[in-house]
Amino acid sequence: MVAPIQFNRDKFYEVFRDHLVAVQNMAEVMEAIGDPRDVCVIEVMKAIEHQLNDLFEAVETGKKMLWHEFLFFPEIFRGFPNVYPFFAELLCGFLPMLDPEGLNPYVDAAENMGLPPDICPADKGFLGAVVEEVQPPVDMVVAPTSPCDSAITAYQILGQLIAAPILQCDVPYWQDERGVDLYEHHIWKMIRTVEDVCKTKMDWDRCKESVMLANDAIESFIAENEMRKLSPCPHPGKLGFYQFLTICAVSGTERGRDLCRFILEDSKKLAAEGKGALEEEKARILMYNPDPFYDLGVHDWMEDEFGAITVMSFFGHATQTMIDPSTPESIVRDYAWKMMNICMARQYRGPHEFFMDDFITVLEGWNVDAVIVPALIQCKHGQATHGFVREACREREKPLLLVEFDPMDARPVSIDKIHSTIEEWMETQVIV
Amino acid sequence: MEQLDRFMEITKTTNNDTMKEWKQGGGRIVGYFCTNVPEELIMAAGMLPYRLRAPESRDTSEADRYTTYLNCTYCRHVVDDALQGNYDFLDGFVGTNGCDQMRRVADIFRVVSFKEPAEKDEFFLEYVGAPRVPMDEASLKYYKDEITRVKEQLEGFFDVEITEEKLKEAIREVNESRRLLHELYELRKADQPPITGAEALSITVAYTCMPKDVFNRELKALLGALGDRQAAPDHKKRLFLYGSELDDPDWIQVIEDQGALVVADGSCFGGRMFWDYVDESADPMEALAKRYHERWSCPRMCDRERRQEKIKEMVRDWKADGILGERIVFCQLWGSEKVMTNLEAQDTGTPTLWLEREYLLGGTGQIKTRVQAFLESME
Repeated sequence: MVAPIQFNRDKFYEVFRDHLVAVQNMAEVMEAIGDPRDVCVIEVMKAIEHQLNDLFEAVETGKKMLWHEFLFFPEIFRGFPNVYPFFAELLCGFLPMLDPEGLNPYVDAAENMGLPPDICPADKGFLGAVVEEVQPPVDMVVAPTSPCDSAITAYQILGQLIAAPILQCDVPYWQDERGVDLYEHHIWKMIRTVEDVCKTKMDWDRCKESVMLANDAIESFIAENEMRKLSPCPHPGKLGFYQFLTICAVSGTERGRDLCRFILEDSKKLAAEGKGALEEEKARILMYNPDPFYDLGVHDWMEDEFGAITVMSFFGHATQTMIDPSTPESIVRDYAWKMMNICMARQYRGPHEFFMDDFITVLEGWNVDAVIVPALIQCKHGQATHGFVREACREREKPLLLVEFDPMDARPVSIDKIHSTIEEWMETQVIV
Repeated sequence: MEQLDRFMEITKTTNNDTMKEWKQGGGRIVGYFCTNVPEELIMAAGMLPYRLRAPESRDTSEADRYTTYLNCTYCRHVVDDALQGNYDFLDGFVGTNGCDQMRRVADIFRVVSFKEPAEKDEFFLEYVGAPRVPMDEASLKYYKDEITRVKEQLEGFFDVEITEEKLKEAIREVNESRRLLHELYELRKADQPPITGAEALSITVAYTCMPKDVFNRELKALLGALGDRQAAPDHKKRLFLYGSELDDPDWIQVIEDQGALVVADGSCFGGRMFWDYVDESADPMEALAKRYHERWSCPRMCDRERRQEKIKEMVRDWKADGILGERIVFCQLWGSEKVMTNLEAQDTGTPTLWLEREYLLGGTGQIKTRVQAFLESME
């Protein structure tokens, strides 16, 4: 067997401390500039800052490290005493946001290992970070078979790179009771395996507490979604992305709950004052599929240049469900259902209607004028969904832009190119 | 040889003579993509299972209304053929989530290509949502429930009864094909195998589009006729072929023309497809579920270690000098499997070369150069 990659303390601290500083700097710069659209993003940055500090503490105190793929929200893992749930794609998610070229060395490392360029950059970035020895230590890895082929195989590759055991839980094809039975079975298996490998025992009271915090956060997230139906839309286009990604890391904590509450309260306050991210909305945009991680500024730019606001984005669309915290059985069953319904797990599996139904719900429910669908280069089922997207927009007479890019690596399609494509579309199809 | 020529000819056509005869005799044909769909079910319903290929397609302009240039060309050509009406001989289709792209192709079939006849109840459409974790009781049950639904829908739609006896008969017949194919593959262990890799692929492709009784008869005749034939007496190296969808023997021919001989394979239309038997002594639906869910898998399944053990066994038993991997461009499953195979090969020291290809044969100059260099590197 190829020698497993070991935890490299120096590299880990170098990269993650840099990351922490970048998060702090971003919050400070935003505070200094004082753009009202950044008020909630600053809170997001603070939540991430705390999260990174928690990670350092967990490493220092020798907690068992449980890596989880981003489509397992961590609330359930918080019930394990002495286990720290680490959002395995944390760097992939946040690095490009802080530095457009930040993920490139890891993408390159993965491609250098032989992964083709057409594999999802989230998986390349994640595996590259493992190969470059910058990830935290790991005792066990858990991952769903979602959202796509790329992720399913990335976690199999990970199994060859590290010594820790990996458990993949099967997300069913269909959205029905039988499917949730299967996924529930896998979640129970996961709990028992974590107990065994990490020498711990699920504390259900603690888990219940965490689940209730996660419910509270999701309730606020769903209510915030409703607020975005207002015109003017209270919050800027970029916020949904930040909020979702942060929930992936902090779900089930007081911090996560407080962040989501803060965003909702701020939204209500702005709405009561009749204020929005834009004073005058010239176009309400739906962006359905992941945003360019390295250019969340694209939303600010559309707002400033065209008066066009993204009223709903793919990550910002709260499709999650609540968990009944009353018993271990209800927690596990509802957690399985929730994880089948979080963004990407819900739309990217099963027949194309799972994607299209949500797409149409938002298209028709948020008073949308025009649609941008990121045509992610590596997203293969997405590429083969474009025909359906085109037909849905044509039927509803909504201008559509399918804009091609790599979501985490700006080298294949530059930020300027994305902007010029949008600009041409805005000027010829939307703001005419 | 006459039998080999016939199998080879079948690979070049979408709708071969045996299928035409079947239809002329009043038979029905039900298509599928991926071997997650047990063909025994279709046979037990009295129909001919047909695995979709697009060997005569030359263009994807119709398909690309729904797919894009960033999708795999197998999927695009198959969609194109469907939109052009080139699968009009089908009476039904059973899709499956073999991969993300095929999942969407099945959607396009359902809501575009075959929508009209399906709405008129003139075309059967079903789907197997196959789980991805083998050796797991709940996943096995889920899969069994899926194929049971397909069985029941077949019965209802075509007004036929799939009895236990019919299922057992279909299982026996397909197992016989598997036994004959194993016999063929055993011959390839010889220092001088009687058939080439290209010829072997033509046989396994023919298996997917002929009535099994006809196929078994013709394969038996071929096995009897091979005698002491030496298919490639001057070959330099023996290769184990591993990879994604490949139904074109000409692609292997290009490799073998450089002095390699493909002696065994784990490809979608080859070894992985027929390797495992269905237990004839067990309850037929249980046995089918177990066989299809736990067979020699592809990377869609979360059982890397089992796959790698199988590759090692194949390389060892067929005395392969190296592994030749192939994947269709934009196939993510096999793009990752390439890395897994290479990491494993570093450990075992097995020389390995991966080639990327499109569905239709092309880029042969580069293939030749790379294979020549690979063979030289092993000398």
